[in-house]
Amino acid sequence: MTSKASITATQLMMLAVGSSFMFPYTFMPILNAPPANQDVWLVLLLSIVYIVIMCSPILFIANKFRGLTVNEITEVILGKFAGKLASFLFVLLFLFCYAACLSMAAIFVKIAIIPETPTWAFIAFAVVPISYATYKGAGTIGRLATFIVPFIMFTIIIFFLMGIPQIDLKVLQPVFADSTFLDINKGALITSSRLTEKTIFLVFSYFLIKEANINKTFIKALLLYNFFYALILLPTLLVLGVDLAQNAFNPYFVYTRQVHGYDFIEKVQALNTLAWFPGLMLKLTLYNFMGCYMLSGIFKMKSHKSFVIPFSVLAAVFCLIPAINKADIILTLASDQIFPWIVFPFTFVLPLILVIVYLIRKKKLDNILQYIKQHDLSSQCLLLENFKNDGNK
Amino acid sequence: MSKKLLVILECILILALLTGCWSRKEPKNMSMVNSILYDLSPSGETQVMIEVMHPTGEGKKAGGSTGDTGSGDGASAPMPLVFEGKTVAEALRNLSKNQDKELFGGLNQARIFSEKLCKQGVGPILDFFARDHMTDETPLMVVVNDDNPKRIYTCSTGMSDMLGNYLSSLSDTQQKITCEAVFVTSLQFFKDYYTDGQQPVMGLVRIEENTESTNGDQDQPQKPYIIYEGLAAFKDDKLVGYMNGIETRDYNMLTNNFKITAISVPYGNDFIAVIVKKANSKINTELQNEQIKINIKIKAVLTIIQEYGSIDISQREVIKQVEQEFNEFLKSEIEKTIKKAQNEFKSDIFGFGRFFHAQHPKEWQKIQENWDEKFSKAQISVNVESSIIMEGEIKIPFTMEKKVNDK
Amino acid sequence: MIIFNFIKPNQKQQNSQKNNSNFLQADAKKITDKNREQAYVPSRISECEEYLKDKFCNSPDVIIEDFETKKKKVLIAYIDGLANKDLIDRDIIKPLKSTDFKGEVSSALNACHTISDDIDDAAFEMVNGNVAIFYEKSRQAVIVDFKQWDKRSVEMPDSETVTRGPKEGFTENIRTNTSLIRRKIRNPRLVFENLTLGRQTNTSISLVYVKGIVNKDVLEEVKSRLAKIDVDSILESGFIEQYIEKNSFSPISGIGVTQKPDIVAARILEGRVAILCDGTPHVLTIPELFLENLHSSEDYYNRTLQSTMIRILRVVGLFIGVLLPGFSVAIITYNQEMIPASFLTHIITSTQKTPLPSAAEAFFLILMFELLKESGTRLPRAVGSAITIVGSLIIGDSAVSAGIVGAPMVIIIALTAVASFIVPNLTEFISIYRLFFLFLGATMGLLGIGAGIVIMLTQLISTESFGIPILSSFSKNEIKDSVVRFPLRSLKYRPASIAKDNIKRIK
Repeated sequence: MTSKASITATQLMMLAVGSSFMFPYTFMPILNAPPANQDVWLVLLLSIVYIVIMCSPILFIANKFRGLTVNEITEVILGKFAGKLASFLFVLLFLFCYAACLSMAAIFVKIAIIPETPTWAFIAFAVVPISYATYKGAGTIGRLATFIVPFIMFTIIIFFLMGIPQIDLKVLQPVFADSTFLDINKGALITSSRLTEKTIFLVFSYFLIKEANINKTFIKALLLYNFFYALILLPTLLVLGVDLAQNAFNPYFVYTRQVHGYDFIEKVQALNTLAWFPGLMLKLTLYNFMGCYMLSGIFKMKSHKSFVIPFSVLAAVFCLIPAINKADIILTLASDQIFPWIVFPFTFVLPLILVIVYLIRKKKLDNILQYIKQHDLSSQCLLLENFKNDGNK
Repeated sequence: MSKKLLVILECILILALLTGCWSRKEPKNMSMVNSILYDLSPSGETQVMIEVMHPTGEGKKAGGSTGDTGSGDGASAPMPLVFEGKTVAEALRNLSKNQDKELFGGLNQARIFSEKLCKQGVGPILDFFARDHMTDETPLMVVVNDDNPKRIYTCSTGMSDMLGNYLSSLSDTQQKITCEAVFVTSLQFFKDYYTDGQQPVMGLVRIEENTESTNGDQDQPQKPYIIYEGLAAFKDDKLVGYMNGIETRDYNMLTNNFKITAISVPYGNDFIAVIVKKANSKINTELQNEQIKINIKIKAVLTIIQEYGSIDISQREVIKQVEQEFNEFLKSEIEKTIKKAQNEFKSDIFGFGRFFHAQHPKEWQKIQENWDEKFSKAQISVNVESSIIMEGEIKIPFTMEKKVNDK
Repeated sequence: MIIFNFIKPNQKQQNSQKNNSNFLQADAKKITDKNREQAYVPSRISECEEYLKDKFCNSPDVIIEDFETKKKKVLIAYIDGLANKDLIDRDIIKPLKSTDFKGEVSSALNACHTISDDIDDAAFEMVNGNVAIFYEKSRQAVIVDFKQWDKRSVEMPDSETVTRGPKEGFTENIRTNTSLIRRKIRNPRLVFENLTLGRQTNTSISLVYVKGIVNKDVLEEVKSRLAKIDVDSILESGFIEQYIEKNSFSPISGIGVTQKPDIVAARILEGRVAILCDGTPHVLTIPELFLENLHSSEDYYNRTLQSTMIRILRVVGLFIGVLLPGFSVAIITYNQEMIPASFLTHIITSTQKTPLPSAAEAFFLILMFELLKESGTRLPRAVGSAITIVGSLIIGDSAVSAGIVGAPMVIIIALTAVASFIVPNLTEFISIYRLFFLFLGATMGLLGIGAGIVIMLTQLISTESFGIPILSSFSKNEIKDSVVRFPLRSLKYRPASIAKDNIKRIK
């Protein structure tokens, strides 16, 4: 293994937050999730609970097997072959997310920002910074997040403050009027299963410095994410109204267009692009990195670097397949009918299987864990092999 | 090796971007649209007139030569040409055939609709606005209440050089100062249009002929001028009627958009002019035996600015009396305004439906569909409470002071 | 080029760690290498004379004279202009010729001296400005340090001028420079480590640090990289800078350069290492973090609020210098609706009759600015200012009136130029990235700018200066002295990423 990059709790938090609010930033799926009316903010509030539940298997494993890479975790729990298979499933998820997000971004860019530019040009253009950042590894990505994400947060706060004069609180008034508690739960379930960023905690737990607490970082990230999601959602809802916001392809972008002040700040939606695009790059870099990293783990490669460009090219080609590269298909893909249900098995069911298998094989696995803890943590990979050999003897 | 090849390929792709620059638009190749007028031709096709900014900074209308439909009567600025099409897009395309530069709608200030078009319905045009990324939600929306709406381009444009700029600053100022006009951007219109229980309105413009000739120059007839007052009430996307300035003031009070205005209250034989500094409305809805009851409570804060010497407002009881008079006066006016919406428009432009929705969500589901009908039969009760906080910089009336001193 | 350097593997650095276990040992090895065919001092001074003349190729500035004393024949050799002749007369020749001379040369001298038994070594000392004394049948050379040559006195450096703070600057003489530092830090733990680099130039280099504060990892890294330098000539500290930096194509080196002793003192007291190089007033400090390019020594001498404000101004200047041309081209050609209508009308009006597209206009003006800047710096000061006036006033104005460029673009580039001068240390960085962002803004609009920001940040983040990431100024303690400057009283800690071992400054 190459020398281990380390990231701090703040960096992990920023990564998770920054990457996860790119979806609301781009097309705000929560507006069209049930109950799809003025009560969506309740959905957002309730989704905290669901996210905690859904994330618990991942957190359990990440805490239990702290110091192991994600590939090692799956291989220790499920055995060599099944472990590799599980890792490969994750890789597929990341490839899918990478390609899906890239094509969603391409569609949005084509509709709202630079309509005459062909999609291939945008994708070829976007893949460069992503590959470059991925190439630099986990430490760089983590620190990149600490620069980009606060900037995004800053713009969100500024846009929120500037939108206050236009806010019309009446939009939110009838609470529970048109929706049942069941609807809201359903919405919260969908909203929280859409989050692919839970996997970050699994993959990046290995890189996290020893002093950091995964659970605390997770909770902080969750609260921060919800807070900023609310700062995106509420003004959009309050200024545009529910129906108009639902009808818009990118509601937040439409909202930022309405913001004006001091007579000369008008139509500053392009500044939103300036914050949105680096954020998107970060999210895609993260997918790219996690995919490449897990691939390198599967093939026991020293570095993830050789996978970076093939992975990006694969995703880009996937985006450019003419059958897929159509607005309606991508919108369906991103909608509540498909995307959350693709992500859900990978982020909840698969980790849950890991937890169950762990509980079944608890005794043996605890032995392995203890063995690892007694020895130097930095070379666990070799140690695992040794332990297996010892066991065979 | 393969990695280097890929990087080189990527570099070539990036360089290809340089030759492309697909979405690039040089400002010098654009003509900025400042206002658009939509009308209906006698044969039922959409007509479009566009006012574009001339690169030298002065206003210039698209087309450049006098259109055949313009009454013109000697106006110095040439009228824009009128272009027709079955749809807005087609009309705009026909219009572009005359333009040597690409039309740029990003800084459009006003969308002007003719009465005829509004009566037929503005829905299809709005759909076009919402879809096209170059035309956004910020421009002002106004209806021209005139037989010949195209005449608006011959009107004087005040301090501004272009009609679009003039209308947008005029409407903004009018709503802030007199409150007898509404400032409706496309976003506001879309929102009201989409929201159940509220019908949209638009700003209203009328054209007045300038008959007085100030300097005795008979040969040069004055330009007609624009009065920005009142509102145009819609039901869904169709125009149903107009409100005058006073009614619009009441509309602003009811929708809590009220800023400040002066009202002359009859008091005895004289008038007292008061400034209404604040007017908040509180709306309560009730449902009694299929009959909807709407209770409106308005709290106003006043200042007296002008009065005739008959009353001494330095006394508490007199002030009470003035307040009472004001309450009665405003109450009757607001009731009249609402009656007009109920009987003439049959359209809930005040958004009472939204309050009903919030206060009776269960019942709302049932009557949502025919809310406007229910509204037109609803029982309205208005209650005005006012308080005078300051009586101006002098204590006793100007005309009375002399008498006090004489004693 | 810089952007795509991720193709190159950066791992080569690892194996350097092995062969530099002891720096001093490596230095010692070098000297023995030089003396492989050891040349002892001949016993006859005529042989000495011959040998030296041969060695110095009969160079006329080498003065070799022999004279008879009461007891022995003595030969003194030195290089004219490097040694102090008065002192030679007074403290060498006079005592040796006096009647009191008892035959023991080293005890008769009125000066400190060393003794060498290697004639090549003695010749080397002569090159350094020392005087070598040979005498009959001794097989030894006495070497006296009477170095004196013409040098610039301590003056105010022409760059890094301050209104408050010491005005003295380093000179070309390394001894003067070390003394200037020593005068700032009167602490026996201030360490100078000397070594000689350059096979032809034999330039003396001095490593300066404060023992107990210095970051040992950085020190080891610097030593190992210095030990690997094996080149003909070191004429300026810039040579050293380029030989020890990791990535030659990065727009920032991670090595600070200064001409002022107070800055060097402050830097080494934060745990850094300074490298002094003979023959140049420019001293290197290692490591240098990115934000420190925005700092000035004056920031610490002035009061807090003022310094903070100026620092924020510098950050703004940095952003304007890097981003403004690209950003404005992106907005003018892609997002015109952001520009207020009245100003857009002006842009349309002014570019109506110009031939170039906005991006080319910006590029043309930037090119012109770089030309003016370069021509202004190399010329004598009086002519330089004339060039600037001609360039800025006449060319700028007539370019607009001749219809080559529009006036708004001139303003934008002028603002950029002014802003980039506010951070003189980053001029290279700014001009390279300015063009990069201009390209991106012209091709992809604000999306391009966004992508450029990601690339620039990634590059800055992954750049390390001797093992320390150059953007690591944002930790809890370091943020107090980054974009803002807290009161000196609250700057209790040295930058934690640099002074790893001893970070407490104030108790």
